[in-house]
Amino acid sequence: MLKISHINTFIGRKKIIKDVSFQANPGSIVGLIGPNGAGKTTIMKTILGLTKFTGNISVEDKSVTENDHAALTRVGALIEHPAIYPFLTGLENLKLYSLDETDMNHVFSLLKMDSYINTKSKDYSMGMKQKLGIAIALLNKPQLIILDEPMNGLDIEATILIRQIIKQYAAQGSAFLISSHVLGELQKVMTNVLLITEGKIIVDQPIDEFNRVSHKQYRVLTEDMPTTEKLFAANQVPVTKSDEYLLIPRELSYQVQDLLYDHHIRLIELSPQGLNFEQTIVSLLEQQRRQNHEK
Amino acid sequence: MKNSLKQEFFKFSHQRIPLYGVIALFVLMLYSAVSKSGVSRGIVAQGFGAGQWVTIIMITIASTFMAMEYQNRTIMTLFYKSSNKSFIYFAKLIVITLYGVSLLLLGIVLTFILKMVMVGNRYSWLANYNQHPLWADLLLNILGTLVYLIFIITLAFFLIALIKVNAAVVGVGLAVIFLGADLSALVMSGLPAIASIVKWNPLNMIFVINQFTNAIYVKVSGLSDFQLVAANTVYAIIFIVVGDVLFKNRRV
Repeated sequence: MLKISHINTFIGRKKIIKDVSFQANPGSIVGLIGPNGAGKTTIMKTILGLTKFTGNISVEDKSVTENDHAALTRVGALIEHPAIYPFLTGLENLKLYSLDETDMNHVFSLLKMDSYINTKSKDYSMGMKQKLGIAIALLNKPQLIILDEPMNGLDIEATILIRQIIKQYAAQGSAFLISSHVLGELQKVMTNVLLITEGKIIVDQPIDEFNRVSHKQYRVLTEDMPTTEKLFAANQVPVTKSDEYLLIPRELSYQVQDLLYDHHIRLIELSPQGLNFEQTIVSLLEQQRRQNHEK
Repeated sequence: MKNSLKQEFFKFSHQRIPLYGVIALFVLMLYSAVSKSGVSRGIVAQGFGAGQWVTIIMITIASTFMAMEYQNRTIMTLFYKSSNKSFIYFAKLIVITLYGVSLLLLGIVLTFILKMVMVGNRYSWLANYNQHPLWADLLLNILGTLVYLIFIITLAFFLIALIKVNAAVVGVGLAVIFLGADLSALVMSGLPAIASIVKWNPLNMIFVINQFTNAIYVKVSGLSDFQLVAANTVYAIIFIVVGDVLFKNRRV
């Protein structure tokens, strides 16, 4: 469906996206996660041929270039803000892009926009505008749907509705690339995790695999935690604080035991800790930051 | 391209701005008719200033029609939904040009109405003056305006792609229309040695509005009717080509 190979994106002379490769298959929901300024929106814009880039992007085996968007015929997107004309009604905004009236009616009914679809969109609330932006992205039965922060401004009912719609479209074969700062929301729908920081992909895994193997940690509790912390720092043991514990990567558990023993620090607890999704992401980003800093 | 044209027509026709353009033209032509003690034949021949007013209205509308895509942040959707970014630029250009031409035609109709109401039979449409009947003077002035209209619309599109700020584009456009002729004439009279080059400057292009019916302007512009039309056309082509390149390569 979507194949990205070794793309580099530049803004001016600055390289924002660095040698990024990944793919999204039919039916997959790829969650694009990363801190502010990591390059999430830039990747999305690049796929849509809106930035200068090197490398290859193809949608359904057709290449996308900065000036040739023929491959994007069956791609829908919501990037940064809903792209709507305030002087048009919701329905007129949809008509602008719709190729099939039945599909258009289906989309706004699905999003429960019937009651205000004929109102000028300048009178819409933020949530209504967001839903209209998502409706535009869903028009014409897209094979690839790119949503940048789709839950922005949505109330709880609308959030649940959008989640259901995303799953429904994915079940019908559409691929999604979604970014969101609300990790909990993303976690509920995504099938693949794509973690990006400083323009580089550091994790590209199916969510099940990510949850199962990648990031189990061990928690450490000693009788002298301040000294332990200093000792770990001096020996470059990456740690994450969690309540009174220090979390360390699983593969370092033996090394840590030896280290504590050598320095006569009594170990009270060393046990496996399954991090929740959010903690894992934060931990991975911290590790990456530390690695970059060491370089 | 067909789809882009359809979209741009749809957007333009669903805004109030085309209606405001028509109302503004009528009010400004009425102002031209009543602001002086009497309506002269020259005022009628100039369509109660229709040419000048249409160019002023059009620089505002052209600039706004392009700038709204950036203000509403719709430009990204337009870009990725269009197989070629140039289609959007040219579709907008065609829509605005057609509206400008329609406004000029409306100007002719309003001129006939205003003359009938304000002047009656005082100046006959068929009576010759300066070797032309009044109706021919009117049409020639409108024809000159049409040439300049293309220049001014393409200039507005070029400027919005270049400086991005609607108000600035309107300001520059109005300065070109109001001050261009005087400034150009001043430079040419002040620098006679290089007048043969300076006469081709873009500010001089506005003389095409009046020169077809009044040969005295040839001395001021330094260009023949043919040269003026050709120069306006060349400038329009340059503005279109450069504007399109800027538009396509602008970061969104």
